[in-house]
Amino acid sequence: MAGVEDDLVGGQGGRRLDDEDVDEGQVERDFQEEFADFDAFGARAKNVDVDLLRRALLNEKGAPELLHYEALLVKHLKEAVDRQQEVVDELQTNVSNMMRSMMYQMELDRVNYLIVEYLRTRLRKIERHAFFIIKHEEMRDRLSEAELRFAQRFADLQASHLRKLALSKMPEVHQKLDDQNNQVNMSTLIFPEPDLDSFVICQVLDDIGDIELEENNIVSMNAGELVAIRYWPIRDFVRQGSVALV
Amino acid sequence: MTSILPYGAKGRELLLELKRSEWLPAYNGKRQDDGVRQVLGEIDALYKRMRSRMAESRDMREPFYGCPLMVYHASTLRNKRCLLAYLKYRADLIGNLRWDAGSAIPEDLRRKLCAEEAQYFSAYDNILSDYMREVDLDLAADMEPPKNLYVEVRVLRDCGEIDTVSGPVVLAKDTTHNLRRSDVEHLIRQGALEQVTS
Amino acid sequence: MASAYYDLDAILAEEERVPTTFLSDAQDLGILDSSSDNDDLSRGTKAELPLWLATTLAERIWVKLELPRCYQSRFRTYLLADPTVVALSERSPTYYETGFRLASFVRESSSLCDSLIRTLATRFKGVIDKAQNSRNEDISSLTRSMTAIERRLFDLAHQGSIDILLWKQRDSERIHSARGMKRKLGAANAAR
Repeated sequence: MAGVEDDLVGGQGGRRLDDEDVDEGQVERDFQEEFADFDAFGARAKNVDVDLLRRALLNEKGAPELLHYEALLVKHLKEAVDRQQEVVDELQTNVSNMMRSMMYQMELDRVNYLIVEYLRTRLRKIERHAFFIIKHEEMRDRLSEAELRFAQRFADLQASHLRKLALSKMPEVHQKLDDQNNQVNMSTLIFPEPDLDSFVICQVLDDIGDIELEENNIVSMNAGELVAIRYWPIRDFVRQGSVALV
Repeated sequence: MTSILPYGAKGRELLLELKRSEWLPAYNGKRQDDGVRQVLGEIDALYKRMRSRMAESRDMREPFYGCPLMVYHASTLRNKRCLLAYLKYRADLIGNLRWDAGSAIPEDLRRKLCAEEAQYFSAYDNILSDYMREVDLDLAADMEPPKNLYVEVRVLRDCGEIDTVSGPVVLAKDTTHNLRRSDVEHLIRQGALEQVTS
Repeated sequence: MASAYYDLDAILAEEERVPTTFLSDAQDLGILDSSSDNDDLSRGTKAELPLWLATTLAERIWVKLELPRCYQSRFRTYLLADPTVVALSERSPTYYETGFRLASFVRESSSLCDSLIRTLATRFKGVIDKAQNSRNEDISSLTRSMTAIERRLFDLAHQGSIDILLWKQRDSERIHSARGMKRKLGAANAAR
């Protein structure tokens, strides 16, 4: 019964996984190792990429603004998942590999979920601030090409929808979406913007030292601390990776 | 002291209607005297009023002339805001529907939308589908993280012997086991087993 | 805040009725005076106007505002007396925001702001204490013990111009607040 099984499991030979006490942790570690072996690009070990994408996903969920697109991470992981899926499919043709292939499939599903959830989170965020993103080059630069196309089309769709049903039927002076010149009420600005004053909860990864929240109000942020703080003072630190949002 | 401000009430009613509904109420603008049309009508009336007063070229810094103009203007902007919020709230939910229900509007919900909103749904579906095709992933799938294959459980009440992939296992009260989720999920749901979170 | 434009709760909160007194005669607005048949409104007329209009007119000092009942001192005393009771009006998502906004138009503004801040701080402290007492000291427990209402308190702190800028777990001086109180909306935008 030698063959695929022996090649894959490092050092153990054909260890069968239908034993009573399955060491899931060990299987997971075996899997991560094998996962790395299949990286044709050889850039980084794949389990590191998974952690990085998980971090990027949490940051994206926590931050009020859209963050930069992790193009390389997504690309590498998608390719690795596709390659590994082929391996698992191959495994499943042999009945004695059923258990192992199921566990590998489980890991694959997890990584796939991360990728999908990351793209999905970004897309829904893009929808919330579509006009704002399109209008500012700094924001447009944070999008992938596909996202940029989506953002443009979505902003156009929203604008044309509101125009069709309401704006076109109003007096001409009120037909614009951007009412910035009409500062009667405080909330006449109708391109929703991310609120950088929002509170976020974050884990400090590197010692940051003192940061100034406002005049004469200085706090220190040190590695290991869990902090609830407004987003804007730590914006750059999130980008650099010194702080992780939770 | 009680007085009725004659402006802005219809806009308010549109929004209250949204808040009262479970998903969306039927589009309130198809017929002549429906909410959306009334709000648009009020915007028009206010605009005409304002134009005619302004044509009299009075000094608007004087409260006698300036104050009513401000009331018309603020009421117009208020109506605009209510109307746009009404439409956008509906559009957002219609977009969410695409994520939940796929590329076709469920029949019982379709009648709540006006024609333009049905068009919105299709257009949004196109945009989303094109994006998913470009990234080669179905983003509407896998909405939940995949569950662990194995779970650790504590037995809350005697279940006797059950069959598992690794053979029969006796689930005696107060014991803990590491088992395949698919083997014991029904017992967890029934409350016979309790999942231990590590 | 810009994205509040489309927010239903924010819009509806501005329907709050505010007792208003007109400081001058006004053309056409006789319709607001139910006791008069006049087309025009006379100076001194009282009317209950929605917040969105009342503040607009008050900004130009064409009207004088009074506090709605739920912001008057008797009511605020009641709020402070028992910090565990959350009053019905407080459940309104913009109770504090509206309160701070009104404050700038009325004479008793500093005592109103003070008591709003104190009420919020009491609520806030209860939230923080609860989070501190949770057994596990890891991230997931923190976020789990931060329920939706507690996260909302953070948001209220922002909307209500409360300067609770930072809270740290395991720090002796947990809540860092700015000295004094500022109108966040203007200041924040200017700073950026």
